[in-house]
Amino acid sequence: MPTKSSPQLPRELLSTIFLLLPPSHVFTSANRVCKAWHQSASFVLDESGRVALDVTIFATKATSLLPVWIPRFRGCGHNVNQSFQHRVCRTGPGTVAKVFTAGSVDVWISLPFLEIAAREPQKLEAKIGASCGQGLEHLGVKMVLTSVNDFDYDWKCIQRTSFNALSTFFLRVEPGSVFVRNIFIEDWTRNRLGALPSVEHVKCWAPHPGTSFRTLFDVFPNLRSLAIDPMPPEFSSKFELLPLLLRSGLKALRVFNHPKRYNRSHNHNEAILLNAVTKLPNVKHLGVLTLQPGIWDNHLDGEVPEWCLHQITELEIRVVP
Amino acid sequence: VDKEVADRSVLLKNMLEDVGESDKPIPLPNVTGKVLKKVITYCEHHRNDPLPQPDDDLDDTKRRSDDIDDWDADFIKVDNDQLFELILAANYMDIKPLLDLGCKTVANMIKGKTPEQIREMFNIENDFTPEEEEQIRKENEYVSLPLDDSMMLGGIACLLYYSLCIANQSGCQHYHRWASES
Repeated sequence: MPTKSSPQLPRELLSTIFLLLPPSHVFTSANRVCKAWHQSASFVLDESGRVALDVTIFATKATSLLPVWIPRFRGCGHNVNQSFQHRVCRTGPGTVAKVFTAGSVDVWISLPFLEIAAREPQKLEAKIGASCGQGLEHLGVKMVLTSVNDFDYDWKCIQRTSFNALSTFFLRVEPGSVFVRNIFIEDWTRNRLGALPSVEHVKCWAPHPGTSFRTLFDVFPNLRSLAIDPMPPEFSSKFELLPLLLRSGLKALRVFNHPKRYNRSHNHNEAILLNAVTKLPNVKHLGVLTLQPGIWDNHLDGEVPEWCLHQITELEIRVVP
Repeated sequence: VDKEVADRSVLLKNMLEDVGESDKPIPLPNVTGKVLKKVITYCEHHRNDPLPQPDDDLDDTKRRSDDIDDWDADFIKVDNDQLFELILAANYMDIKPLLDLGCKTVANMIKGKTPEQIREMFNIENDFTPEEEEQIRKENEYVSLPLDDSMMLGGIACLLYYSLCIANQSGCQHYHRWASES
């Protein structure tokens, strides 16, 4: 037993030190040293912003019950999404248990952990798979930074970490690709996270007009494909955005539709923008856009009757920068 | 001490600006003489370095702990008590490069160590009850899973998934859409 204690470092200094450590080490060793260090590790979490890890889980068979363990992530708690399917089973006289079968779980983790998650998504999924138990048909992992609208978010935390702008981002971690929504990029840089050179494909959900795409290319320096989905209702505003998106280098886009995905009942179609002439040599694929019948007439050279939408296989759209 | 050296400390710099030209001593109640000597040695060596800018914090390299130069590494070779006192002094005197050096050194010392080793290294008393320790251990059992075992399970999950993709492509498309929209 030590007889003399070292001077205690204040919490903010311990947190500064912890931010220099691998997150896994902070939450497996450093937080178990003493109560003060444990509190500082929690402080790191709050100060760096919390991120929900949304784990999508499917049972092996639709009819079978899969006892899913909710993965634990550094004691940050979790939130089972309402859509998670479950059944109530009788476990004994007068006792019942809820058995989850399929759905998703939000697990709160620290924002710096995103770096690891994005860099090594396979390991992340493998760890979650191990935590969830065997018999999974598929495990999908995506990262969701909740918006201020989400019910399980700490307002104080939001204000401290400058997430007070009404926004969400959505990062679906897949090998070599991520999906982002709204101001994820700004949050990423604000929290001083590094570039993600391993990511080559980004799917972007409805970026708002103020989105800084320059930052997007800074975060993903080796970006090769950029998809925008879904198409915002204002078709023209989206195409006003595209030149900005491509650093004013856009001259023409080629649009291919997806006949198989055409769904008249939902009154929308999807198209893939390919082979754009851009100033970004790496960007060849602009991804899937949702196109709405009825807005084509105003924005394309020549009229495109609605009835032939589902027959279009190739279309060129000219955009004036 | 030269003003140029004293200006390394934001606290002293501000005080000197407030007081103006004066021979009166500036009190530093939170810093012992031994630690202050060490701080002055650091400031004299780095007297010509550019002063840290507020934007420096945005530099990703600042989050690294393995970029300590040889002189600094030699300078910071002190016993653990003095290391902590140096960090506290740097924090009090607002000398950011010295504070960063101290924090990086502690981070490097902690890396890879168990809680027991960290306690022993810094003479920290374990004030957790056995129940509290068990609770924290349980909370973090996910992150301490051995990767090799979990990788194997993840591989099985991936194989199952891709087998299903091949067997039923349209089903997978539906999954992707569902997963994307959910």
